[in-house]
Amino acid sequence: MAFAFLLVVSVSIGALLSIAAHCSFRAAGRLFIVTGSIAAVAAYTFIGAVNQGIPWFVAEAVALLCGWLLGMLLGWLAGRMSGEAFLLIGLALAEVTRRLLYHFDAVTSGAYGLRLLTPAPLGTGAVASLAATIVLFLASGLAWFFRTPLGCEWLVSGASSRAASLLGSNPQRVALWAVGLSALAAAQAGILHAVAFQYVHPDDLALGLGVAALAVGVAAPPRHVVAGVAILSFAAFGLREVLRLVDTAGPARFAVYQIVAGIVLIGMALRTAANEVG
Amino acid sequence: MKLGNDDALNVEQLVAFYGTRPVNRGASFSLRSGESGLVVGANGCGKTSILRTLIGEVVAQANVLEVTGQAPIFREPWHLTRRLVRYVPQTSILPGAITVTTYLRAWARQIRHVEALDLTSITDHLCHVLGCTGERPLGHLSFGQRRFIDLWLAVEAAPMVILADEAFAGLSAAYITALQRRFDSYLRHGGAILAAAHEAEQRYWAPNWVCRVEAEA
Repeated sequence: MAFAFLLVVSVSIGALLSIAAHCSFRAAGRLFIVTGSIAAVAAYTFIGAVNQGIPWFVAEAVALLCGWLLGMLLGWLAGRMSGEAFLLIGLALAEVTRRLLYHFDAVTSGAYGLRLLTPAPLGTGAVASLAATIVLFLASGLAWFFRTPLGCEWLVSGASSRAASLLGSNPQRVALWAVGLSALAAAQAGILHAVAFQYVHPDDLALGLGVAALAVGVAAPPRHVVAGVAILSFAAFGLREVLRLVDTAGPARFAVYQIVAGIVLIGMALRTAANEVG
Repeated sequence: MKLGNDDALNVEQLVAFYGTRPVNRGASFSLRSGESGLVVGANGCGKTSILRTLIGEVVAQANVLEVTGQAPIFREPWHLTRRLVRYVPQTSILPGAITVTTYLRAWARQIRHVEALDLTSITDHLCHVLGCTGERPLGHLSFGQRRFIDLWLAVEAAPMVILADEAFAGLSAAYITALQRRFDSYLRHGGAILAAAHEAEQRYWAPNWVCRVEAEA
């Protein structure tokens, strides 16, 4: 039962992060590598707020708002620099976020992450069901959205900002909306992590998962979002967590798996990007 | 479709710049509704740059620069291309990974001002002419097919003016004939076309005037 819970929640968090990366890559045309950082900020905000006695649903709203604001700020920056520059700055920001969270832990509750003090109002079964429902709802919504005229405008804008602007679309505005939506999905992933594990550590979210989510987001085909994100998320996140569970005595082998999985995913992403250009 | 009666283009001593370097000697012309103009010149003389200045993609200096009564905004072409102007570049920029249907939906969203736009019939017609399905990625189409889509949709959008760069280069005779009919109909309904072409391509055009562009020495 614990194994099934871990699998469902891990894949759901991965799928939410992938949806976030997918959305920003397809519609904003940007390698938005800070997806994991936004999730981490939302998770920390959520746990911090709940520990201060704020009701759960208010803490959820506050954490979503924080994630969204961070996403919009970075999206605004993204619209004002080249893709390569933003990629580098995104990597730097993700690492800075991780470092900041380490320091944040040292100031508040020690160097081992932030723990949720108030017990979650939901059981593990309910959390897993809720996670799967949120993922299916968002993925189905995104698949539907990319078939609407507005969604098609976003896809064209993400594929070629010049083509979009010659159609009469403002690619900067599209990118900002897309990044805002992406940030909400990423923040929801962070909140789900906080609720499910009742504990968050700088290494749980932020850079590593952000890069993996980006790779999945790029590799997932836009017209089959549900299947693409689900399968790739299992490959990137669920399988990783399962291996972590069964391979606790062999961290080196787990690290090798992570490196291989990362290379495969980034290779898939690059191949997809090359097809885009072609 | 009945378009406006104002000047579509009014340009005096227009010089395009790449950075601080002027590309061409000053060009002057004006284009009214129902007219077509042709900018000709040798390779590198600035024909394409002049067209791109008219939507704000390239820096320009001019005594007068009015496009449908407005000044282009540098690096923000969508202000003009949303309703008033369609620019068809020399090389198609249709995104390769996007399907025909997706692109047409995005295109239709930007021209909601066109009355009685029947997207389904336009999609069916284009797919019939191109011999493909709407699910075909644009990157799988040939250069000529992509070019045909660019030009056909430019006319269907019913803008006040179409800027066409080397419009018929690389197109088959059947495509050229079909497009010439559409362009004639568009002009009769009050549209305006400014095309840029090499000397050799002039045989496809019967413009109201020809403006010869010379490169800045």
